[in-house]
Amino acid sequence: MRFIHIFTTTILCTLALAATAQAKHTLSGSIRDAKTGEELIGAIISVKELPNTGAASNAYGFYSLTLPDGHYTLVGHYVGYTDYIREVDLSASQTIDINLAPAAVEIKQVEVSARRTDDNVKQAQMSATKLDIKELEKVPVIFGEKDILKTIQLLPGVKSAGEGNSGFYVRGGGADQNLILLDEALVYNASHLLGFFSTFNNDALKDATLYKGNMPAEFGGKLSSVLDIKMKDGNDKTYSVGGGIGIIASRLYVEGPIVKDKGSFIITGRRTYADIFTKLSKDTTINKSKLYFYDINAKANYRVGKKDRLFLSGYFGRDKFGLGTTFGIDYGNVTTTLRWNHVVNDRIFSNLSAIYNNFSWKVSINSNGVDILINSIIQDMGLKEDLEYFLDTKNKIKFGGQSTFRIAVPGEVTVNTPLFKPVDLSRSYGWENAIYAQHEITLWQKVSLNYGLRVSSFTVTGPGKNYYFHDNGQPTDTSLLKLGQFGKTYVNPEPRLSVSYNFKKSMSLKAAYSRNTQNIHLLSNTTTSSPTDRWIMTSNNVRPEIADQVSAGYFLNFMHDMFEVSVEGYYKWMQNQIDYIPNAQLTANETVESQLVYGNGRAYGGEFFIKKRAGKWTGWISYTLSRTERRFTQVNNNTWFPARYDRTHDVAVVLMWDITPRINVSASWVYQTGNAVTYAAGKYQVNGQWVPYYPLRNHDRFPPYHRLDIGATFVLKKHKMWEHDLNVSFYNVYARQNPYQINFISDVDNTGVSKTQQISLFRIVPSLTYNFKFTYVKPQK
Amino acid sequence: MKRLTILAMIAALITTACRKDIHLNLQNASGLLVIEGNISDQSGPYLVQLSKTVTFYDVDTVVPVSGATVTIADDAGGYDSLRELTPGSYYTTTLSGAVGRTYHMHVHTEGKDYDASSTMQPPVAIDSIGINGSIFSGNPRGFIQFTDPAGIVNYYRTILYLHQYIDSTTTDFHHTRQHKIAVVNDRLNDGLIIQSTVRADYDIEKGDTLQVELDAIEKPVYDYWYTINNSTTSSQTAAPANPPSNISNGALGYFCAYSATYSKHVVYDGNIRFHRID
Repeated sequence: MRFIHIFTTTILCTLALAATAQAKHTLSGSIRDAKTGEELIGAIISVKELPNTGAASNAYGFYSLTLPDGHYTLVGHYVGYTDYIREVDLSASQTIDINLAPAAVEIKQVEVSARRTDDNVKQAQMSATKLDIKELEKVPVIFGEKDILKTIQLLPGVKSAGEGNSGFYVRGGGADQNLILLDEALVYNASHLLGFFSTFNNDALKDATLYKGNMPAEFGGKLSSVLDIKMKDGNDKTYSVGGGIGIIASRLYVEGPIVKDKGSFIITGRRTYADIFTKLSKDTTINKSKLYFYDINAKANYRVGKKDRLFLSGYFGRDKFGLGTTFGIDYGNVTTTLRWNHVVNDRIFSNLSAIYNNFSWKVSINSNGVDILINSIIQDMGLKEDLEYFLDTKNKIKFGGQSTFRIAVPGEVTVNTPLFKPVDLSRSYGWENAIYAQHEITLWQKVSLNYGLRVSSFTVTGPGKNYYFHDNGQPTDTSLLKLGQFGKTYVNPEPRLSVSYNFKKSMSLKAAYSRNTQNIHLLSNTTTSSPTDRWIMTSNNVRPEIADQVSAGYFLNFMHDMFEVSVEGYYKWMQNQIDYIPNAQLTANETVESQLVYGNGRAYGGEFFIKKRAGKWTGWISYTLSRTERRFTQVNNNTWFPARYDRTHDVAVVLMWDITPRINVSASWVYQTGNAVTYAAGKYQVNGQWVPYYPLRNHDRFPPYHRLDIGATFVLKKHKMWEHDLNVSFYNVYARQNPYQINFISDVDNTGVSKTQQISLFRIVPSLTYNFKFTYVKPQK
Repeated sequence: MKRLTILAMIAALITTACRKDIHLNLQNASGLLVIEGNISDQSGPYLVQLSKTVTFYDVDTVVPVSGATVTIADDAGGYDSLRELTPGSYYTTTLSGAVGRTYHMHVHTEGKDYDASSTMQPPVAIDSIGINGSIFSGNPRGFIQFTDPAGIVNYYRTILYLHQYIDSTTTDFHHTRQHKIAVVNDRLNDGLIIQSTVRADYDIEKGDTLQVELDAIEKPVYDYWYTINNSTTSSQTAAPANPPSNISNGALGYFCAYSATYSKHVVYDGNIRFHRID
């Protein structure tokens, strides 16, 4: 609690410094896209007469700029939009809404410098990347399904979970240590079709930011990263319909005003249709099989008066897989967010969100008249309040809190046969709370500081049975909690600090420290995530995971911000990491915690990034040199060993070329050191059967992984009302057989001979997608 | 395993996964001691085998360990010094396995001592054996059904012996193939009827004779075979594990005291059919 005391003292002191009052007034309002009415996030408003003075719009497009009285020229800018210029006489506070017009393609090549910003250099925040959703559409991906989770894997410090997989690892963190938020709701399982697709339909997305650690205090709950995704609000000016037809999936969306300029809606949907082809088969096992997923994103918003706005957004996705009538699995996420934006006054902005999200799966097995049904769900219900106080041009304060109640049903089994006894897998309940405050301040023009504190707590909640274990995994004691009773509580202060020093124009040094904790843990003893992997909460035995990260970096923009360069280094310590005893029984086990072992992790590395942001040629090169290690008493004699996804070198090159305004080609190439794996080093015979012998864990390496993808988009027509294009792409152009799995087996053709067999998933995968958009434009009178 | 099967199927539907043999630069873990000892309630002699590991790419040849001292003692004062009849194979001379007794094995070789003990569990009767279509492939699989004793934790090992019938017009003999060991426990069905698939490398065909052995075993041996059957052939498993040995001092292998029951039946038809033993 000493932490909190120091923290409040600091914040009060700096505020006192800042409050050297003089006649000042505030400009505030929203920054929007002039054509669709969509609020723009992170758009910059600057003052020509006062260099180094400006404000950025927040997550809801709201800005607030407090200036001394005077005559000013305001300039609003945002990437891909023409600048907005307006003169103002400031003698009283006023509301000015800024509408930015999207730049026509032709202008794009001329006015490059005016629209680029050096925000990435100036801001104290580091290790963060704002993703350009439009740029994402150009990067070639497998099956031609544009996918944000696959594109972020091309950034430094982010590693892919595997071939064609949407899972990712950030700076040595596990796949379950990413906080993936869709309109503030946590998405537990962000993948479809066992990882080949992500749950995010690009048509529905407006903005996404990835924090690779050192996240601001407003975020918490996961150890390694935050991927903050915001859905589009919908066009509040006119109706439009669009979509795409691809080889694997098709998409459709509708958006439009509810009441013009006051409210809008957007609904997007997507479905795969591999199962249409299985229906054509004569084999009954195949034609009765199901294999598809769908997802729907829907959002509506309405402005109630000048100061209030309501949003309701939701995501519903489901995967269905069935093999004849004998086996079926069905899983998916649901998220819903109800938000209330309120402009308290011209300098204070409030957002209150009520959030519900769940992830559930159902497995049904029907074999020889035995029906088995397994049901699992994990759900969160929460409230979150964030208040932003735009004190003046140099100070911004944000504070708030979050309270989430969580229920986990870990796979309840129902059977219609006396062959099995029901397993008593008790549900678990937890209550997670957090409060935070952060202060962004600019000092002496050149130094920006962002410091904050988040205090998080987790309470084991009744009803439930909590076991206490000792070393050999046998329950030693049981504590029973009744409904509404509270068990063990863990409280963790999480300090966050980042600072930047702009020692020259468009050049800065940054450093940061942060601590994060995590109270929900994924148990998976395979390498790629499976929908049926089990989530467990912090308990009497399982402690909150804790990570501390320090990082430092050099940031530079040159040629009028056309090029962006960054070099970052990080070191991360992780405590209370979870692993399993050999042969762990993770499914249908009422004392699953007896199968777990706890240890530490460490990760460090350097990240290099260069990006060309404008012109006919754009693209980037990213390189990561890193190490990720873990240590468990029970593994490798308590020595540090490489994590499976410890890949020393990780390179990505992405190039995009606008040949003409209508033709765009792109290519991406990746190279990664092979995964750290355990190879057999010997073999021996028991019961006439040859068994491989494995030495220390993860002391061998897969062959390196590399791949080239290319793609091209042909705009067939681009008109006010009607536009359509064709996208062609090839995944793995030079058909590299990358290892997906290596088996240690006996050669069937040569008795007594053992061999190693590599399995690769994809050679060349071509794909074709047709996209269209129809916008209703009122005929001119 | 099931998950991998699904994944493999999806991969097969979307594209064709390709396999190729590759040569890897593997570590050399040859020369480690392996002990496999079994003692049962059936008549002896019982066998303890000593061998050494070879490197993975070596041709399958057992490297026997000769000249060791191997003894088995029980908790009722019984003692047997085993004789090495063929290299690496040590046989009991007088011992007769009995249910409920605990056996201690002691091995002394190359200056080191290795110990293990195991208690013989009561036998469990087989209700029936038969063949079934399997969930994932249409091929028939052998299965065994028995009633689990209630109130106690039980572990079982099943072994399928398939006496393969070779067409009589060419060669008239029954060829025996011993198949892989499978293990099962009563974690989800204590005191109930347990039906368990017995593992085979070959498809069962008309005319074959199915013989199944059901052994009552202890947890360490269950864990040993469970690991072998579940995680040892693929690098895709997060952490392929060596089966946990119940022998001291780092020896690989296991020592197992078990009681056995048997059932045998001829498969009249290759179709899915349930055969009840009279």
